[in-house]
Amino acid sequence: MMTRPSENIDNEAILMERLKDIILREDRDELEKIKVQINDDELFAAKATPIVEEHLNFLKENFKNEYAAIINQMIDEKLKDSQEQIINAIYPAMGTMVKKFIVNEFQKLKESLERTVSKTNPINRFRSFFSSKKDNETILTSLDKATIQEIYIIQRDSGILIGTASLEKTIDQDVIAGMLTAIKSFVEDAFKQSNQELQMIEYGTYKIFIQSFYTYYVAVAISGSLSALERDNLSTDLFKFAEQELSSEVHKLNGHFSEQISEKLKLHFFEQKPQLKN
Amino acid sequence: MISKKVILTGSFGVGKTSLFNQFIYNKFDEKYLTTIGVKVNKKTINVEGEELSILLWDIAGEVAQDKVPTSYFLGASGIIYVLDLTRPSTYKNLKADIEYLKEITQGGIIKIIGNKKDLVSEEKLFEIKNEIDLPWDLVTSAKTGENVEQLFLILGRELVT
Repeated sequence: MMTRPSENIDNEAILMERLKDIILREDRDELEKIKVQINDDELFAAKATPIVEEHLNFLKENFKNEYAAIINQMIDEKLKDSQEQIINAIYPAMGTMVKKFIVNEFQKLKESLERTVSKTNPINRFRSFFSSKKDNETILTSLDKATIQEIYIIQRDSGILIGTASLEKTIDQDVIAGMLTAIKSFVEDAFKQSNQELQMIEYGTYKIFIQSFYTYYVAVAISGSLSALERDNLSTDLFKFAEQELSSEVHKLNGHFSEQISEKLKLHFFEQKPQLKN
Repeated sequence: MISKKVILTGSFGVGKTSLFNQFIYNKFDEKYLTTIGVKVNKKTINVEGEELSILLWDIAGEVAQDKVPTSYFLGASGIIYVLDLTRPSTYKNLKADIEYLKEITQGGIIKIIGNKKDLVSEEKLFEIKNEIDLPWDLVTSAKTGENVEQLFLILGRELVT
């Protein structure tokens, strides 16, 4: 029986499909498995993670060799392009750091000089005292003298200002006295160390030295580096001032600011002694 | 001129800082920013011809002993205990808190203030008044400024006499 040409073509196509099915079955099965693995997150992660990890480890070990040149070039270009921006960002911080570093170094130097001088022969110290030429040590210690900027006498519990004197007028001194008292109270309460008191607050190149008395305390804001000896001298001076000028006065005040005490502070700490004794 | 330390205390969010700002700067801010630690400022008022400098301490958060340093309260001549009229939780410890404050301030004048008056009706106000353990001295609104100046004048008068 004869078949029509169109029937022949259909049969060929079917045969071809069957042939494809036979030849490509394994490849198609493999392809399906791969599709499942790619589309399933967990299966894909199980396959891919070791490879990624291997590459990451390789990168960790060889990053410098592989990419150093490229990154250096990128940084160089970025620095060149944004030089002004970078300098603007780091300049204030650098300035403060350098200043603080210098003050700290001066402080260490002064303390070391004080130790050295106290150990040297008294005759040499006597000679140095009367010599018209200052020796190196004296010059160095005078370079960054600690200077009293402000002094406050504050009622201990209430934080009410009793008297004050300063080189320059600052923000409201009643508020400073209140906030200092709050800080002092907080530190002393927070650490609950019996019979211990906050003695120093430092901010940048400034220090606030605190000397506590029974019903009041004295806060002294100081610029420059303050050595241990200077701190000791200041403390002695404050005790002497308190004994001579405050003991009989303070209890009478009862929350009143005293112009008289402020005048005495001004006279004692600014007009008679513009700088701390070394 | 005489100075007196006055403390603003009470639970968080009752409006202590808003009362502080209304009294010191005559302003109110809708934004709520929690106070960190303590904020101190002063205002001088005239009480019957005498100048009185009020050193106002706005203390963050609670009254409870374990949350605020006790020393913040020392030396205070006046204490303003603020409660929020819209939140009963802010006056549930009123009696105990006042007892504690009396103990640590020894003779300081204590004023109990119901704040946020602008948010409650007269009926609700009457209801709360019967609910709380101790009577308030004044109801205020830091937002509108109602009774804020009055509060400090009353307190100031008692502080100088």
